[in-house]
Amino acid sequence: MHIESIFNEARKGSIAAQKYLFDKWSDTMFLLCKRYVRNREDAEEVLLDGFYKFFVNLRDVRFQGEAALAGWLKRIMINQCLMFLRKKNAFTIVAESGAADTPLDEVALSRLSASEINKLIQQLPVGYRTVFNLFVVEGYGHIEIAAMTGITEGTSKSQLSKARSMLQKMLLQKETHYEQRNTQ
Amino acid sequence: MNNETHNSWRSKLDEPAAEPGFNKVLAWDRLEERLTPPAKKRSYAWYWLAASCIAALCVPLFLQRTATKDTEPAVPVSIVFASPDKQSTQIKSDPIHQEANPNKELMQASARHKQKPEATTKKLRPVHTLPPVVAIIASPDIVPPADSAKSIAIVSRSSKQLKVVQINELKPSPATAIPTASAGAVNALPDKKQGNGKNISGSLFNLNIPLKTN
Repeated sequence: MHIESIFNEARKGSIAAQKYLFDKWSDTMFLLCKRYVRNREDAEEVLLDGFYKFFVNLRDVRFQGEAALAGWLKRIMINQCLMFLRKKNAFTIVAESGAADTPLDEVALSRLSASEINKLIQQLPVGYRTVFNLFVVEGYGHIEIAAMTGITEGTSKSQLSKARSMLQKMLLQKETHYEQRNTQ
Repeated sequence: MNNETHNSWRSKLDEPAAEPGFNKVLAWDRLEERLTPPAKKRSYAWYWLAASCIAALCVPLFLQRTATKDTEPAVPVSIVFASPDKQSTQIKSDPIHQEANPNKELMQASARHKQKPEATTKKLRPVHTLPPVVAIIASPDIVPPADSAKSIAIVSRSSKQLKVVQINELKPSPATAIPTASAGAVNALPDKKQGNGKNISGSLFNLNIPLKTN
């Protein structure tokens, strides 16, 4: 069935069409939520909240293609994750200036599997992780991140550099661990 | 080159197999529960409002009706039975009452007639607007029995006086002439003018037969 007709049915309130959209995007959105919210149950709760908002506000949206619809849903999920973190008082970013911009070894990162990358990201503190996710994974700029999270642009930049350096350290540790295992 | 590596590890993150999945069915059930609007709680306030309105309309009507019943006099209902040969009964009654249950009223009237065949008067529901209406009932089951002595109609006398004719005054017409033997027998009867002069017309042969005379 064409996605536009499903969208129109879901707009009218068809449960079957809404279930189709949920099945289509729920896995991807769950991974997104899991990147921001470490706890699995919390991530599921945020996912359901996000989908609920998506279906409720669907009647006010005009169909502009599948990619646009998926992007809108992604945006809803990110906002929901940020709201959840704010509600839990987990989103505390301390302004740190003068952090050196450490480049991330993306070649080393690309050698890792998706679950390993996710585990590394989830080991980051909340502030670092949020800014890293927003900037590196989602592709937002520092001004947008500042507006979304309620921090300054400079803080966003410093948080990102700290996140990168921390992730680089973890990558190096992981590589040395692999090298040790291979030599043994 | 750098962009390619960046995109490669980023695209890995969006793969569904990156993390063990969650219970999608259970999650959908929970979401569906939230999406379906809850059944509206039935508001009983409307029912109470409707009931109070009906009561407010009915109570004044009821009070007005009871007031008129107390004040206005009863209208008599006369039941007059006609003669049995006509097989009909005239009942003067309230038309509204008859419309309500005419059969019951007629049965009651019949029972009353058996006890008191004369005209009876009974107080029924007051009628203040419509005049009493005479209803003629031709139902044979309420007609009084024929053997009832009081219910037999009185046959009136004929107002016309008939002439009394003596047998001797009768003159046989030639068409109806008495045969010879009979005539002899008649002639053998003693005559007032003939015979011994004894007048016996008043005792044996003097018949009072009413004859129709034009």
